[in-house]
Amino acid sequence: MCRIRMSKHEKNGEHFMKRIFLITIIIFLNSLGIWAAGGSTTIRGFVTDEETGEALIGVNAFLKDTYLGSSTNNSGYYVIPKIPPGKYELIISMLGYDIFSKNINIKSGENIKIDAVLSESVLLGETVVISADSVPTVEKMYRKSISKIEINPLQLKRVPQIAEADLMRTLVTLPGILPLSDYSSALYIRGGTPDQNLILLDGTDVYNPEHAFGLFSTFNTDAIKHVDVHKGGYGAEYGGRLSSVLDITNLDGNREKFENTTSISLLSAKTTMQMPVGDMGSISGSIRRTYFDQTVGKMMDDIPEYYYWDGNLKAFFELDDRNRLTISTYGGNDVLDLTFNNKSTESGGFQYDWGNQTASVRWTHIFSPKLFSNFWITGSRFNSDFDMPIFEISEQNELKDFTIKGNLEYYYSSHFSTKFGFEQKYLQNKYHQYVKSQGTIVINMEPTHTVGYAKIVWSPSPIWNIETGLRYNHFKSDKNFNNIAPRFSLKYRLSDKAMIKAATGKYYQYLHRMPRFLFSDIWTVANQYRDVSKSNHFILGYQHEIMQDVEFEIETFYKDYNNIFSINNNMGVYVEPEYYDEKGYPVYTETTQGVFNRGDGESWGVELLLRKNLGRISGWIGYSYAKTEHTVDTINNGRPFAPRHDRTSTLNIVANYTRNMWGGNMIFGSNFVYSTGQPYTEPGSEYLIARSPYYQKRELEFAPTLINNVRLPYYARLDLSITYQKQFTTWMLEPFLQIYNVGNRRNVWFVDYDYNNGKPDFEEIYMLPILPSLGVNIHF
Amino acid sequence: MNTIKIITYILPILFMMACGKAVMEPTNEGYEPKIVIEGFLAGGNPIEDIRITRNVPVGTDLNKTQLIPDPNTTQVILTNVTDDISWDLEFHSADNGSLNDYYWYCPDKSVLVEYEKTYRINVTAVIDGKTLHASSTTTVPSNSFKIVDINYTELQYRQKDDNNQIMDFVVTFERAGGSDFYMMVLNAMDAEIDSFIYDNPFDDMDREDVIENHDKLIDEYNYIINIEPAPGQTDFRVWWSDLWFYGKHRINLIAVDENYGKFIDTYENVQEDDGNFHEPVFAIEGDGIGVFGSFVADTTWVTVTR
Repeated sequence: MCRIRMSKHEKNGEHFMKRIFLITIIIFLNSLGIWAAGGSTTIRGFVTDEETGEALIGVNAFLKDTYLGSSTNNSGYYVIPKIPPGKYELIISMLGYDIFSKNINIKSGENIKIDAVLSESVLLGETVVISADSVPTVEKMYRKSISKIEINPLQLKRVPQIAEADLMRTLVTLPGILPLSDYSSALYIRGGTPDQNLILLDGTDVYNPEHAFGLFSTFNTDAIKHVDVHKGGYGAEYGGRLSSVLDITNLDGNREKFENTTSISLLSAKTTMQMPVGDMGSISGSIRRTYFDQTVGKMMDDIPEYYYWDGNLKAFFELDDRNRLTISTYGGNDVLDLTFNNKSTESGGFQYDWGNQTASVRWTHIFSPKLFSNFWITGSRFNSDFDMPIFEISEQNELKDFTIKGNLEYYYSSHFSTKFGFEQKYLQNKYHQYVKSQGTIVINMEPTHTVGYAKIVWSPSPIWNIETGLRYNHFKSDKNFNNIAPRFSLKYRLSDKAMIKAATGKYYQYLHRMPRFLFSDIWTVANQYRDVSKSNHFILGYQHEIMQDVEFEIETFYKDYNNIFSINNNMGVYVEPEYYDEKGYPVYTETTQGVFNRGDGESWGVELLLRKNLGRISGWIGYSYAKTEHTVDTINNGRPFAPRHDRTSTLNIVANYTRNMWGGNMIFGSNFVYSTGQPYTEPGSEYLIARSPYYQKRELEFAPTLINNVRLPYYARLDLSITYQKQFTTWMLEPFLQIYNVGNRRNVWFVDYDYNNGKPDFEEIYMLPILPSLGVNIHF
Repeated sequence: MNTIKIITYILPILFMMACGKAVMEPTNEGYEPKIVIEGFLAGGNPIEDIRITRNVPVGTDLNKTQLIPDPNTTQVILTNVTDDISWDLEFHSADNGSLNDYYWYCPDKSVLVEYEKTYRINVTAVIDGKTLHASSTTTVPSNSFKIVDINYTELQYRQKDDNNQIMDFVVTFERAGGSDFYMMVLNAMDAEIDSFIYDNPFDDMDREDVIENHDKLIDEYNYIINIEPAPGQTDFRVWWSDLWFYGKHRINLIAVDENYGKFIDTYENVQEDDGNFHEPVFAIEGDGIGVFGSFVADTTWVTVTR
């Protein structure tokens, strides 16, 4: 063995580098106050609801008259580390709950556990007016990440909707979040497409979260506890999507008593039940089904048999002081059975069903007061089956996701905390299509996705907060992708009432969702022919507490996209089969090219939000001005064009007013939206042509050339709702009336062109008209 | 109470904004003058029936003959690229107003379209005062293409076999080497209002619907794409949903070139399911739209009985 002998100069150089490195580390750690560990105290604990025992998320916990504080995480856990000895008043408070307050005398080196139980500030039925808590609005704003919006179930249910409350349809009332049309609940966030949204339900990825061809979302609002929306610039703990994150937490279940909420609307019936499991936990479950097929469908011949159902079950167990276990499942299905000609002696049509199933087990473990962890095993499956025997056409579409992941949070001091974790995904992507005497599509892919991330949160002073993180991705399909995604954000207090926030980051996406009209979307994965999608976010925001509980924020953003994919409308021209069967018919596989358009793009815009959460009148006014442009080689001759979801200006006004009437509460809700018309492609010109030399007839055809170069008329809609709440001794009755599009404005969806007597004729196809609906909620 | 007053004032304004009916007026901003080529070269046949017309803004009240560019300022040159031979095509016109009688042709009737040869068309025309140029190239499919078999020449409508399975007409053909696109054109020869198959599982149509759509229903077509280009035999199934009438049907099976395939697959399919439009794919360079393609055809017959 040969050992290289180092020269004296080399050794000196090595020692010098080591010394510089150590000094740098020491200076950095000193600046964080790490060496001042001795003699300080940590306060930590869980915060729960008094009535239900439910862990409360986003609760503020702080020491009065200091800047020391934090908020509870998704498990309801808070930590205030590095508290110098002294006398303090611990305040724990949340919107709608009485303040928890406790005087504490902290001695050197103590670890104090204080679990707080918060009671709702008003009894149900007396009033639904949400009372103010003692945490200054500006503090709540400062603790929130840039571009993050938190929604609670009450806010979800107060926005008037079609038939019943819907999560996705509520979110589109916020600036920067748009729907494509009245017929879709898919979210287009800051110019991004729905596949660019990471949707998590209790930590599990949900891939196609839509019912009724996209009209409604799959989430039952009665089962939702909390929703976080990150519109961009999110931290290293999230990834795998280009644009945004929707993190939904369902109810754990009432740990104190049996609780039931049952709702009946013109659309569906649903019930949610919660109950304790001994002293150690709780269980909750909900189920919903539409009954259109059993009522109107039975009376009308031409209505296809269609319904959807969904349900979830969640169990929560507090094993001991340090260990908690949560088991959560969700399932839902849409079922459609259509017959083409009901009068025929031979039945012909198709059956189509699709749905999601998810399951997760989460183990929450507290290693030490400062080291908190969550570990998950999750499974998610989306599948659809289409069968049209009369044409011998069938399609199976399936995406399975099995994930193991962990997330650890270390709270060193009020100045310094860190979050780090890992994620290992095993995916199965299957798509089979068979058309007799035409061809076959057989796609089978089993990629894996490995992720490691770390994030440091550093507050060098009470007016600064800096977050920096890295997320490493290794994605393996028929090609290996290795990408490092840096993230950075900062917050700075300009004054007691105002702050600025900024964020930037790089985002990667390896799964691409291919939207199809009426049919469920297909997911595909990055491979040697479809590169990873990339995006850079740049966000700058200013937030101001205008008055107590009135928030104002303005954010400007820019993001670019590289390698975004869409279905090629002329794919028949471009696809080439991988091989042929014995009859010479084509067989397409995952490596078939020509199915997708590859493109790039960019979005930028400004968003304003004025929000009031408290009092008899609450709601928000949001405005966004934004532009999105895509450039795709095979569309518009390679020139940039605005995609269909681009809307330059959008104004949303959501207001709720509560008044005590007739021994109960009358809640008036309103939602107004105005937006610039969507881009639209005109037919361009018309010409006469025959399809073959065997046809002596020529028909008028269109030759569109300029893609999305005109705009539809502006979109506007006003929705109103009235809800009456009456509390009886042990139960509450809540009948409601909702009127969607009360002005019956006919907003243009698109223009249909046809021919009458050889002349072109066009007709506007409109979005949803006025839709009144009635329903009742019963809560006991 | 001030806030409530403000809401009381604002709500009617919002209501006014959110009612009424939006109206869409076509702008025709996307109109650009184009030469429209309708040219199908039939292997083994004379060069004729090549139509040169123009496009117009959407909604124009069409006089079909006004779609024909002035023949005096229009030039159509066809070149056999393989053998480097060119012909100045001549214009044929008639006075009956039918576009079928206005076409360009090669005056030398002895010149036939040759299989597997490449042809190029160059068109120059003046449209809206602008001189436009368009060109396209096609390679004629091989004459190895032919129908070799048809399993039944006559079936009852949706007839079932001994296993209770629906029986289909299946045309077996010898593939044209190099071609991967085959089209079936069906013509109902006995199409009458009374011979329409009302008891069908595909569409609920009454007599009025049949009268209204009669012209569309008698001519149906279907195609299969990306068929193996190497020599061999493939089946082309006749879909029952393309047979709307009892009686005899003529089936023209056509092997088409790449240009024709692109045209057929995209020219009608320009409006998406959500109503928006996209571009078709025309294999025409310059200021042209339409099709300049070639094909080889064979014919067979089937009869649908009650």
